[in-house]
Amino acid sequence: MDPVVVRGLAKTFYDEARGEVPAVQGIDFECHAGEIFGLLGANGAGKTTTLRMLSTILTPTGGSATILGHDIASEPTEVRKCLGFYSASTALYPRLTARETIEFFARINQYAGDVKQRVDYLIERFGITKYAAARVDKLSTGMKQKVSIARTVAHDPPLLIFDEPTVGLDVLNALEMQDVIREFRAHGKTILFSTHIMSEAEKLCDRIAIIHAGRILACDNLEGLRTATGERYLEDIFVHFVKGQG
Amino acid sequence: MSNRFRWTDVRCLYWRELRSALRERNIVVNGILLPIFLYPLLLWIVYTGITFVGGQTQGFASRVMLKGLPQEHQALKDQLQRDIRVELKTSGGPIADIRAGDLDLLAEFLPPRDGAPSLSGNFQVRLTFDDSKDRSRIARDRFKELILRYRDRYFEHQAGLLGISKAQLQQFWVEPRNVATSRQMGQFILGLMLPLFLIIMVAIGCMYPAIDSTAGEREKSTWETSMTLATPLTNIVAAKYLYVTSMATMAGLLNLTAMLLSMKSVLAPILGDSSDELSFQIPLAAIPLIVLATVLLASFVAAGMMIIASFARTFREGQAMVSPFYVAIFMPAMFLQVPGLQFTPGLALIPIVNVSMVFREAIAGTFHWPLIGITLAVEILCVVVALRLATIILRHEDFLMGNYGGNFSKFLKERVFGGKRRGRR
Amino acid sequence: MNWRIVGVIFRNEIRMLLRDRRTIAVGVLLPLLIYPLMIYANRVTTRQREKNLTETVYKYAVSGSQAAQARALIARGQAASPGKSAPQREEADNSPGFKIEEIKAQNPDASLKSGEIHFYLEALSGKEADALPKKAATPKKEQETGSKPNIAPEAVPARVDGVPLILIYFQGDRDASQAGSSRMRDLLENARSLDRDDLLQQKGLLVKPALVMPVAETNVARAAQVTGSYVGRFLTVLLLMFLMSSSSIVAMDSIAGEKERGSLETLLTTAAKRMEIVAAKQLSIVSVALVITFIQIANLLAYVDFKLVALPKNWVIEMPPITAVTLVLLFTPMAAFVASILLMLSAYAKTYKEAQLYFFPVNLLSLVPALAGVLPGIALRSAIVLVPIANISVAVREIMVGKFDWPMLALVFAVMCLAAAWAVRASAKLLSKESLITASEADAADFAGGPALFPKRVLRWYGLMAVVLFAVALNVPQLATFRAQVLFNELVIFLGASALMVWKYRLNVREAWALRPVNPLAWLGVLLAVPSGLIVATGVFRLADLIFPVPQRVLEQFGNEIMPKEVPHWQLFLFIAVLPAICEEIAFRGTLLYGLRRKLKPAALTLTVGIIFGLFHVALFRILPTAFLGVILTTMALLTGSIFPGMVAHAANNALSLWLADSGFQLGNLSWIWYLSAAAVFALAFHILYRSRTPYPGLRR
Repeated sequence: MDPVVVRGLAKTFYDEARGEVPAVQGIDFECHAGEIFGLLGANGAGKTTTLRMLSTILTPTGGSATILGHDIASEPTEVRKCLGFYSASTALYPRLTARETIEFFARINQYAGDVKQRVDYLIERFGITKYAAARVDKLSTGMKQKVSIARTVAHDPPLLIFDEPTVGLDVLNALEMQDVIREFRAHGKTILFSTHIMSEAEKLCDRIAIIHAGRILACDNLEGLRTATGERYLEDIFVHFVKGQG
Repeated sequence: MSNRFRWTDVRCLYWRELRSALRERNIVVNGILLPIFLYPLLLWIVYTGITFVGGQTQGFASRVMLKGLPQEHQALKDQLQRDIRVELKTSGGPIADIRAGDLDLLAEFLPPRDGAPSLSGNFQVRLTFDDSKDRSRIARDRFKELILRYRDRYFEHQAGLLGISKAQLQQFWVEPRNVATSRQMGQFILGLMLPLFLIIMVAIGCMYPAIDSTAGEREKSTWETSMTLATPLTNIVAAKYLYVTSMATMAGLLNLTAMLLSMKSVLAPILGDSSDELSFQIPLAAIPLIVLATVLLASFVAAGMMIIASFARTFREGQAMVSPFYVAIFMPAMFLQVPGLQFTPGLALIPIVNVSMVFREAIAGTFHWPLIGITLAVEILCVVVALRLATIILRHEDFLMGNYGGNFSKFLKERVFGGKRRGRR
Repeated sequence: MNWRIVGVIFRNEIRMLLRDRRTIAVGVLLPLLIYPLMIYANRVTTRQREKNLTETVYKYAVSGSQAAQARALIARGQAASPGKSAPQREEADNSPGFKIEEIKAQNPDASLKSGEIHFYLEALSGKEADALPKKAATPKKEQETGSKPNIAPEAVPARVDGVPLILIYFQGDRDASQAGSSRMRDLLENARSLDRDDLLQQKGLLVKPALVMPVAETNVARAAQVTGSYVGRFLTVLLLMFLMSSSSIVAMDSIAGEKERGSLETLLTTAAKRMEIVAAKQLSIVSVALVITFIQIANLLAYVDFKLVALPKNWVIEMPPITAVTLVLLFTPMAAFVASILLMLSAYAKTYKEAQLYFFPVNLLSLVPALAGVLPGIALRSAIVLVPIANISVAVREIMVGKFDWPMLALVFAVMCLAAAWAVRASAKLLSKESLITASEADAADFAGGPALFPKRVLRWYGLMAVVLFAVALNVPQLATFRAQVLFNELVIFLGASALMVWKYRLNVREAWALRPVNPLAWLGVLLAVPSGLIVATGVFRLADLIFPVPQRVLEQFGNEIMPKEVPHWQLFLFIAVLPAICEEIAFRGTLLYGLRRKLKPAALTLTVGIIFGLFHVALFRILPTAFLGVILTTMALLTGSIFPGMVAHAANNALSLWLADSGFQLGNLSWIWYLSAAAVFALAFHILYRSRTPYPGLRR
């Protein structure tokens, strides 16, 4: 069974000024085990809303989805145990040290093994040793990024969701993030990844779903998308689908 | 299954909140340092101030001019000259000098009043002074006291000439005797002051953690992080609530302890000698009740502040929203500062006021159990209502995501009583 | 300065504030309710108490061998006073007065304790009263009148042997019992007075006692002036509180909040100069503060007008235009100064919350100079005119009684304007610092910990030490004795905390405590500095006395405390000279100096360490001369690079003071020639130290 199965997932917000706002309008897709699945779309396309529904922060207004066999509506806690969610809007707790942060996330997400060992391993792995005892609010952006990644995988979840992970990062940090994501895939993790940066999607994703105005316009690997559109570059492929849909 | 309460999760979350809080300077200052050290600091300021001002006031010699002092009362002048508090002066224009502040008092000795049969050595004294000047006022008081004492000795002398002994002249002597023990006196004073200060300290100790754990988290963007944790939202909220309540309770109890330790020293400069007669202790039997009442008070205040602050998007906004509630908490207690006020069933039904009365009576070692029972029931009911309200609020997704643009009263109007159900999870 | 730019920023600030409705509601509307509500609550409780006490029928019992006589006196007193006794409650009339009812009680003491009666009287004959233990007949303590007793002891009222005694027993923890017994006492004393007058007249006193040496008073001050003298004392404090709270609404967010939001950086990249930004923000703070303060005052006056807040009966408040205008002219620069100080705080703090944290102690401290108006001995024509806020407090007190010293008032205005301008300039400088923008990220010190972290933490430690010193000294009775307190302060707080800091931050003891050898020539400087320094310090104290006169009584009391007579000389030497010299030097010229050496330039460092040293010596009036000593000792440490000269100087200074005090020699009575000569020798001493200097290593250049 695929780790992520989405069927007709929809989300409508109610805004006092504008009334009902459909953010996601019935989308379907699956992520295969061990792949990096990209959600590619412009700002406001519905990527973040989709990922928030899958991570159970938001409740869908239509459709369904399962994460490793657990339904997101009826088993939200089980779902969150199986995934690690990383987003620019999920900040770290400023007054905890780096070590305490990782330990906290390991414990609260019910990591099955030895928490202390796991924390030591992650600190070593992400090169956080020098500032493991420093408070998060004292760390630079790059250091915070590393701690954020470490806490995302603290409980060793099989599924990782990255919502625009390289936003606000400089070139080197962004490249490092990409390397980390690849490494996770190499370790057998399934990664659901959203971005609006075409080059990133091209480099990382095994399959890409193009999302626009709350709908998925296409979903295939890069070669498949190229064949379907006759375009070479992902940017042109994206425009093809978006303009075609409009 | 998905909303199951897990104590291990709550404990883990609670320790995280507490650890974070104890590293936040504002929380440590307001919740721990202020309750403990405010009183010794105030004491030093008050003691130094009172000693200084008192010394200033009493340290100056009063500049007095005598006019028309009868020859037979030269002894009065000698006495004044020996008194270091008095400096005899002369002046060409004493009234103008008094107004200018160069002279403190003019004492004019005038002939006895018309119609009074003459008595050897009698006179009347007119004291001219400036009541808008402290030195002049003090000079008036000193001189008046001296004249009255002089008069008393004069009467003794006259009485002696008439064959009246000092004992006959004194008639009888009256002395008050306070039979209250030093403990009772201490408890009386504590009972007046402690409840109000306790309420204020619990509110101060609660405010920062309540706002920090709700609006503060939104501002820092860690609210969403918390929502991705593999534990139901109710566990997260329960942990936050427990943390805020414990911080508020700790502030209240630390303050109570600090007050008991420093109360005598705080009041000593003001009470003077009678401060030795005071003992500030509370009955041991009262301690569990006081602790319980503090916990309940803290629970009520924590619930109220957290609910209100959770509608704010930033810490500053949260402070602005919580301030009226903060005022509403201690205002009622201010109306209770009447000595001898009776604890009635009516008062037992009013939150905060009832706890205040329980404190006061417990300090005095009085336990009206039915009224205490009513108080506990009312406070528990308030907490239950608040938690229920919190549950209703948390069901609204726009609120959770920070998209709800209103405040608590708007929410109540629209979503709880108004029937609008949009945005519910 | 481009005032157009200032205007643009100013209007922007006001606009943003006016759109922050919540802040306006909390900052403006809430205080409009709170202050009058608090006053109203106080009034309600006071009235309720008075009503309770007036309506109560006070139950009492009479006992003792002279009970009948006591009853007769009560009847006499009642007949002479407006209230009537109420034998039965139903018959009690409602007129105001002292309503009493005698209860027959078998055991009056038990009845009092159980609350059955409010108080009881025990009337004793003269013989019975004489037989009581001495404590029963002790007269009230004489108020202190100075060191020379000059009132004859017999003039103090006391019971004469053989005179009957009436004891009034009451329960002090019950308001009604206390009030009732007090009123009964007044009633009895009134009856006594009448009886005494009757006796004198019966025996042939030719004139009524009331006509013997009557005292009449004439007050040359108008009612408005008297009111003004009370109001004037506290007006500055009250207004300062309003200004502080209303300024903080805008000030705390003005820079600190903008830093947090990131909009400060945006503002700093515009064409506006730092000074223009600061001026605009300061203007906005002052405008808001003044408007809110006026609203608060108008609100309070409205409450007074509508009689919701009652003023004392004799009060007559006059506010002629000249007074009002002068007050506005004085308070406006004070508002500007307050705004500038808060702006500096906001610029210094990294976040809005941090700014709020600093606000509380600054608020408290600012009230201290504002209380200068309460001190009766200070006139505006003195050095106080140069002290910001304190000068306004004293000026306001004088203005409110109608005294307008125009040259001094002009000087006050100028001093406040200069102070405000200085604070604005300081804020602009703070805004120019680069660390303003990059402040939030840490340096290696935070990660590495240890010696690198110590400079950041040192002041916190000393703050904590100060608090522990005060708290323990005042609350632990076992440490109230001279020896115990000295031992605790010196060994536990000063030496103990210094050792703890060395251990915690892994400091090198020799470096931290400057345990270095000294150039032999420097000892000559120390030898000259000690006696001359003591005389100069006394001169400084006398100068300080001109601004803040210290009552003689306080000085004598202090003298008794530090040199208690029962302690042998060698112990005094140990506790006053040796121990402080070692422990305090290690704490201040050792650890503290080491911690701050890179933070401040040498001059500022010397002043800071000296002042902190002064602040640890609790009594207010000691701070200045002790701080002066601290500055001298710190300078010695900086010039010699070692703690040892300071230790010796400190010990010698204290020992010399002790010896002089013991021998009765008063340095305070010397002529000014002596002080000037001492100052010259003192300067020579430091010249020698300078010439032979081995500078303290690692100072900031």
